[in-house]
Amino acid sequence: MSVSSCLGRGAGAGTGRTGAAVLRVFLCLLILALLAVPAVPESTAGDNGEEVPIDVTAPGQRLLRTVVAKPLSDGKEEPACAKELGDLLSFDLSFAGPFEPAADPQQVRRRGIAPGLFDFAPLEAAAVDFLVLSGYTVAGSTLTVELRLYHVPSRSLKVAKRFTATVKELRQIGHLFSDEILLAVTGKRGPFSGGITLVTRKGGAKELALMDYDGHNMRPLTGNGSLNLHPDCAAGGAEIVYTSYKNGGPDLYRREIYQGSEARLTRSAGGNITPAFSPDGRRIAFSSSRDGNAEIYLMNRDGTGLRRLTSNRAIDVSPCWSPDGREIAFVSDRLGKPQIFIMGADGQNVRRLTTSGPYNVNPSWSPLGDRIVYSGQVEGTFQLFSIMPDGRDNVRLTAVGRNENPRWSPDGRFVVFNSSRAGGDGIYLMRADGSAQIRVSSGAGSDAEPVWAAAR
Amino acid sequence: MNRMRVFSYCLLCLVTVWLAACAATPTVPPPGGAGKAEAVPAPAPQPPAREPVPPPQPKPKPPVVEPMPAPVKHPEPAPVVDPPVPPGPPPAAVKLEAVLFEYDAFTLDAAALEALERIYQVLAKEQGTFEVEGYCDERGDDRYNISLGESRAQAVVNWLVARGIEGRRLKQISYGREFPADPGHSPEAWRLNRRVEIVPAGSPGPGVRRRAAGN
Repeated sequence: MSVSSCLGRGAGAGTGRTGAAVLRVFLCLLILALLAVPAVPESTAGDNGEEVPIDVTAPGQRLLRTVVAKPLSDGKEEPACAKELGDLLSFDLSFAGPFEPAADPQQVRRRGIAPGLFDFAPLEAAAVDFLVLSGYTVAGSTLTVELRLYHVPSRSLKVAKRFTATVKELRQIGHLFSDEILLAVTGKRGPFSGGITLVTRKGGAKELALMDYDGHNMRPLTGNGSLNLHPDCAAGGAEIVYTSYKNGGPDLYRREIYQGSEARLTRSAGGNITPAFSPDGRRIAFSSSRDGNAEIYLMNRDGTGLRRLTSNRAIDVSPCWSPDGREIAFVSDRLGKPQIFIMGADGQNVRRLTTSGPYNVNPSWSPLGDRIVYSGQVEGTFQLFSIMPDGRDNVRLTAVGRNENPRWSPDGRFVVFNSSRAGGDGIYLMRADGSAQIRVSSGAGSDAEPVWAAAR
Repeated sequence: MNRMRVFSYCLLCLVTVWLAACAATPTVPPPGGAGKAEAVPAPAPQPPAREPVPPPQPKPKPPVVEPMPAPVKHPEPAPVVDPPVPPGPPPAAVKLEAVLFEYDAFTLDAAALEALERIYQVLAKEQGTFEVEGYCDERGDDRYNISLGESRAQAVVNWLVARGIEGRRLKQISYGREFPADPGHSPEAWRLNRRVEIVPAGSPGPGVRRRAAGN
């Protein structure tokens, strides 16, 4: 439940009850408000100049009952179009977390989606919090979609958008509107219009591909017949760095995923692997064996300005940045087995992060700064864990199959990863707390290393 | 108890001020819908449930004019086709045994040293350069395994160079857990897959060799 909807209930309950009850409600409000603050670091508060009022991912909150009404046609009915749009909005909102799908209590067709063209009473009677209405017109290959979000208790219109595009872009439009709904309800835009890059096996090769976040619209990014691995995305950007064997040994490449322009960043004997963009996209941390064994290095985004950060006889690999760019988490076996360590971005002040489990690898730092997800070996396979950067509150997130390569959505709400729980490797999503785990890739068991990129 | 009450009143005041601030935010979104983040406002005070009132009959309204984002044209990303790798010199007719390793280790044990001595005897009589390929079994992490395979290849190169092979004749590369020698998932398959293979430079890549070997 959001703070503001709690407000609505509290005001109603307070009028006829004792002062103690009122106080309880106010206290609950205050605690919720206080809880919400630390989850939002200073650095993201200025994002698009928006203030971020509430944290709807906090546990124990009431879900917002939300009706996604069947899309209405302004002219000729296109049942397939309407169904795809309605299903997509329902999927996005169900997965998002704060919403609980509710059946549409309206029995007769609404006259329209604008205010005044439909009746709020049945929705109020069904205790619905939000109503999503949509209308569409198809003219040739041109699609116009109009979408509205209403807050039912206040009978107010929260979002109104109209999109004109090609029929093929229906899904993109739907996800954009879901992102708007999350912005309107929680103060923070959703990530659903973003894409997911992944590594998909093609015979003996591994190629990069791109799909919508929900697994639709998969298309290839590379086709060089070699090994293409370790994609990483700059926060909020549509540019990846990745490892490829296409010119011999493993080297690093930078690529714009929607336009396809590419630059080669390393040319050295000794492998160059596991690149990670700094949060501002200006530097890249990576692992290289150019000086004898795997160490962590930094370079500028164009491959210049090389700087070595670690120096020891152990393997140092898989760097990832804190969202403020000040620290780097990485994997090292300097104490015998691979564990996750954190150091300053200057290579100083190394400290060990993971202390439980024999083999912990592949960290990813939440864009919100408060958690690091990683995979750890449990009974001969890998499970995902979430830990605070100071080493407290280590939580296991998965239980079945081999689960690897966890990466955050750009808004820090969700984690995407690959899992073998249903057979071969597929791409899965979950919320940051491990709830709502769902497979989104449809390939026949050969997809791994997902990275959630920004929308185009 | 008194202090508690004072504290409670303070809280109450605080929250009341905050509520007032919230209530002052407009309930109608600014043009463009969600251009600005705002909390969902409290519902306007509603009269208690009464007999159903017919909803206000709206007058026909002029079409709502809303600033809408212009549609963006999205070019489909085209797969990049890399130029074919130029063929290397024909591979020499020399086949070397694999050097095997313990799990998550790149130290050379007694069996590895014996294998390396036999490999050295062959290499010392051969000319040309060789690729030293490091591999791991499937159990470890993909990324860490590439570094581990690199360390295995490096350990083999270091030993051979110390034994007398010219360093420039050896070039190491790691494929991590890709291209297993044995595609099985048993301890025996893992044992065979934790290896370093040494092949003449210009040999077909490991993918091609594995397919030729039938796995």
